[in-house]
Amino acid sequence: MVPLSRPAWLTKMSGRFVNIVWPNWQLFFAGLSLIFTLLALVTLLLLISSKGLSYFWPKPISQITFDVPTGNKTVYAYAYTPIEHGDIEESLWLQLDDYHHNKQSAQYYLQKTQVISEEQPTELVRVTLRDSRFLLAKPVFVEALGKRLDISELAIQRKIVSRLQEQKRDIQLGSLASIHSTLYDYDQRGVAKDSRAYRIQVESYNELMNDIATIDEIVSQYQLHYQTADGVVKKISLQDIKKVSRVNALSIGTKIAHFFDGIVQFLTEDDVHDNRSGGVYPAIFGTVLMVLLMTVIVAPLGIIAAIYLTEYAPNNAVVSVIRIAVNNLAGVPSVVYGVFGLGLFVYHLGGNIDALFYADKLPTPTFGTPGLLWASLTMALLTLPVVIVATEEGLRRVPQNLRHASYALGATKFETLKKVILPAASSSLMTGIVLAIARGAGEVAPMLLVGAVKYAPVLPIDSDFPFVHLERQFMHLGVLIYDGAFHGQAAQPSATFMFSACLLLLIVVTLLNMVAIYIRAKLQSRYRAQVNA
Amino acid sequence: MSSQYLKKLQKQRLRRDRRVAILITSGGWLVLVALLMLIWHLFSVSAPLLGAPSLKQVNSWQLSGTGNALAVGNNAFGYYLYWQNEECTSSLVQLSQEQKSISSQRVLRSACAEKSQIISLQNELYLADLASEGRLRVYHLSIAPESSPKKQLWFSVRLPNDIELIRYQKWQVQITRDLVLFTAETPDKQSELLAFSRTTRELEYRQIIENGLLSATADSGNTLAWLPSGILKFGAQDNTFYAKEFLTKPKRIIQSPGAKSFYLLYDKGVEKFTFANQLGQLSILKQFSLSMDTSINDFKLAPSGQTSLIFSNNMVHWLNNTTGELMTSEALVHGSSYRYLDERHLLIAHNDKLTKWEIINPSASITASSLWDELWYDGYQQPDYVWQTSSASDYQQPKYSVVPLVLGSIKASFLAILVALPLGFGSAVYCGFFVPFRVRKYLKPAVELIEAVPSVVIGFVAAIWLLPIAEKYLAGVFLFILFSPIALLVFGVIANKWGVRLKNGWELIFAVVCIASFLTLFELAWSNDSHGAHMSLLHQWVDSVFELHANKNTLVLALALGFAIVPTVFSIAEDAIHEVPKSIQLASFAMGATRVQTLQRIVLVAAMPGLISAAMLGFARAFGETMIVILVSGNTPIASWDLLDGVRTLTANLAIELPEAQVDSAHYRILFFTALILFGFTFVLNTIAELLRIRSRRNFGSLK
Repeated sequence: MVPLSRPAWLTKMSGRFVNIVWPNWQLFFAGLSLIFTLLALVTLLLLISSKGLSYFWPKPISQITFDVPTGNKTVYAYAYTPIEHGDIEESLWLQLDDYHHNKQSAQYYLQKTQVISEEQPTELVRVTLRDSRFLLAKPVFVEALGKRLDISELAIQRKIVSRLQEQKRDIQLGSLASIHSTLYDYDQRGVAKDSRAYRIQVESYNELMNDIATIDEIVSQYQLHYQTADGVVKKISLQDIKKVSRVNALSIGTKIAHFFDGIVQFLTEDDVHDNRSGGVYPAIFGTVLMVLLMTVIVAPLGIIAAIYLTEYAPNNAVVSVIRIAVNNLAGVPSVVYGVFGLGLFVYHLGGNIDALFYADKLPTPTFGTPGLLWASLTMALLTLPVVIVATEEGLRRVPQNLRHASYALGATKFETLKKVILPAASSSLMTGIVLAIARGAGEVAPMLLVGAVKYAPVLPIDSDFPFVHLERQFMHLGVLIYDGAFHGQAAQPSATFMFSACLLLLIVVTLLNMVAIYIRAKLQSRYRAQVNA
Repeated sequence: MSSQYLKKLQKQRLRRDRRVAILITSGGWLVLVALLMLIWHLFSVSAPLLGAPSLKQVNSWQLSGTGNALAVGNNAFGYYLYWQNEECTSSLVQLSQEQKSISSQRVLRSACAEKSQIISLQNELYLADLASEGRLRVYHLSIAPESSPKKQLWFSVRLPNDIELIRYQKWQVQITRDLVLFTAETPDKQSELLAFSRTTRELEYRQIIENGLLSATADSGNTLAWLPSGILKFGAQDNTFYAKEFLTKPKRIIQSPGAKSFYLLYDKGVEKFTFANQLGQLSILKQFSLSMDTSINDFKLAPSGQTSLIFSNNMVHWLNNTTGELMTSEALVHGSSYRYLDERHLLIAHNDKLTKWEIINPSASITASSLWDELWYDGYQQPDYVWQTSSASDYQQPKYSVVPLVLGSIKASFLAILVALPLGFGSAVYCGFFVPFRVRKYLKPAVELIEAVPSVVIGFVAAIWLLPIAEKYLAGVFLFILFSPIALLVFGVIANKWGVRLKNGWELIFAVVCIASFLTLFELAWSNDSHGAHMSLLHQWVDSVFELHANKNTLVLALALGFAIVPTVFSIAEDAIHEVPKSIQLASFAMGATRVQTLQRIVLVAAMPGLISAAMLGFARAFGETMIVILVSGNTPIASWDLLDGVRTLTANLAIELPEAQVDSAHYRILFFTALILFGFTFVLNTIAELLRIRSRRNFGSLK
């Protein structure tokens, strides 16, 4: 009989598997799961950062000639590869400007085999208009007061136009406005319309209106002539142009400048254009304001409640039941708080306030509708259990001997609290507030019900008395992201704007947390000696 | 310091202390009351659902003289009443709160020789007169306060000559959206139906119905005729016959709004039938049948179609039209009188008194059965659990079964737990047991960093980036996880071959390299395009063997939701594992056990309550998660246990529907009830988890 021979490497491998890997599979499994988790987190953060930041980096404009059944077609476009259906290796997605085309026709899906040529000529520019639309074109010449000038004069001519616009604005806001108010004053006082003073005002008014008309006429004579991809030459008035950038010919330094410029624009402008571009300043403002207001409400209330439960409440069954109830309220879904906020605060309280104080404005609700006050109150309620629990824990950790020492020296309960216990527990207090801020800034579900809207025309804080308008609706970064995902066209490759918003939300939450953690660390270092003694 | 000053200071301090005590006590109570008010408010809004609707008399008027024909209409100023007394004077009166009696003040001209019939249609009153020469006239009656009633000719047509008016004793006129129907019953129990177009006054059709019954409905334009062999539906365009054998002839046939179902009223019972498309054939299916002890005097359908009132023997019973149960009954003397029912009021004229009753708590028509039972809805072929609160059509029967939502929540949480438990427990074990302190100091906050990421961001990335990718790599990812043991083997072989002793956290680096390379190789071999036209060989083989048709939404939902709850599971499990006393671990090592043996037999067993608590808290957290589910799942309420179907969770449903629900309607209260379910479920789970944690901590108190 010939013995069955097994190859040596198989024996070694199976031996190692049986003796080393298999008995330790729990170790490998545990390690694997930790790796998966951390990898997922890192991938998430990297993805958001890279896609978010890529929104600001200036993207080159391509001139693409491709093959369609009716012949060849050339366009100026931004070229992307689509993420969704289709073979990634084989297709291309083009985004054209939205000045010549409406939203629906401003894109092309191409098979890469259809593309005949793709180049990036350096003369192509992106013209951003004042109404947030943009235009991709090749500028030909500038027309100023009937004369043809070279493209290099564009910047100078634009400066001239903007100076003229400034003049016009000065007239409007200066002399014209004062004439308006004088005339209004005259009308209030019942001055006769044919009196000399009145007529003088009307004459100056007409003169100034003529001046403005002249300026308008001059400005309209400054035009930029450009050529679209199909060779047609069109023109656009210089006053409609916000920014002209020759994207394909930028040096690295200029590109970096554009990058930071884009970031600043993103953070300070207030017009979100179709969930694809724009500025999110009102959303940041609204989010931060809501979180601050929430903290102002929740911090004192939570601390007082925790002090009451720890120091002043009797130690009976009722109080322990209440303590357990408060503990568990921290785990209740945030939507339930939103439901409660909508039902009790908005409809009930808000409706009653409207009926009592704002009855003349009904049926338009003032407080009977979601707004800043109700949103902050709801979030305060949501984060209250967290603050109470954290503060309670901190208060209980203060050693009894400190309290006894304070009482032994003759201090009253309030003085002990103020000078001994609270400082010693201050880091736990701050922990509670940190947790509250972290939760409050990130929860979006209650905001959908009680607070934010997709577009708010004014900020809740402005220069009219009473400066902080609690009944106004506000924009929230999380709601913006939700809306972009749920309703917007963010599925396209140019969803980078929404990713920037996500990145911004992450940064805002992190910053808020870091500020609170910093304060906590300062308090910890200051009072640690006390506790350890 | 003088003693007087010290005494004053002392008094001041004590006073301040007392004031602060009062402030803190009241502040504390305020806060606690505010938190408890949350629970109370949820209860108070959903509590009316428990009750039943009832009637409360709000007004009554005295009618002078006894009237014959009576009808009630509703205009912008309230209800108005038409009646004709035996002297053939008819009046039209606007009912007001202050009036206590009604006399024949406003008189309308009418001739007694002509027989007339009053028709009430969509709160307007019409008077039909049949003259002896065969002309049918319909007048529209209207009234405004402080003005005389108006009677305007609205429709006039000459009946065909071959109709012998003498033969027809009982006649009836009904008005639908496009037609005016004239039916007459002959002494030999035959009914003849003539339908005239409202606009052209042409005779559209004419039919003799033997031994049948007719009913009409105000809005849909359909008329139903009951025949012993089936139901004949006269539509606006044509007629349809639905065959069904009926045994007994009902007293009346009543259509419900929306024309998808109808009621047959018998002497001692009511049956509801629906038209449904069964296997391509239109048929009539019985939804429920109700039998009563006493004979039924009248059956009035509320205009919304959801409840009805059954009048019998001086009692009035409330019927829920969807579930077929009698909700409540109350005593109401009504005799053989005229009744008018609309959404908010019931008017009854009995003897010489007209009483107006208000319907209290109409949303209480929702019963436990409407929320939890499998009900037969209009137009469906069989009973089903359906949540559908609004639709595109004018009239829709709202379907409030909470079962699809609860099942959806449970399924979504279960999917999340499937992903989060292995990841969370594995990471917790590694971090709490295998790794030295200085590494743990960085690893633990790293995993807990996931908790800081707002769930809307996770949902957004999952919906925008992961969903399209999943379509391409879906089956690949699934099976990669299945083939992971091979990865373990390869990893172990390589690590051993290079002679590195596996300990103290260094496994991580080798594992990363190995997993990454395996992942890449697997995907290169696996990838295919979405059309499936160029599937790689490996994929084709696996498809033919396993027939995997996983829904990509389910997979991405599981991944995203699971990822979001991993930190919850991780931190509690890690605490539990780390807190197992060192002494028993060292004892185990001293007896010669390996690390893995100690882990499996000592540490995990000891930390079991903490691990269960972690799993429960993770489940509760997933149950309450809103944003990820809204963005990633399809938000379709389907009541099935199949994990691969779409889900709509309780939380997502609240966020979607509550902003648009009308305050204090049944829909609104049911949404609050679902919020209560959410609250109660998470509350109970959290309490049990907390008790487990306290118990496990107590168990080790002595061992430390």
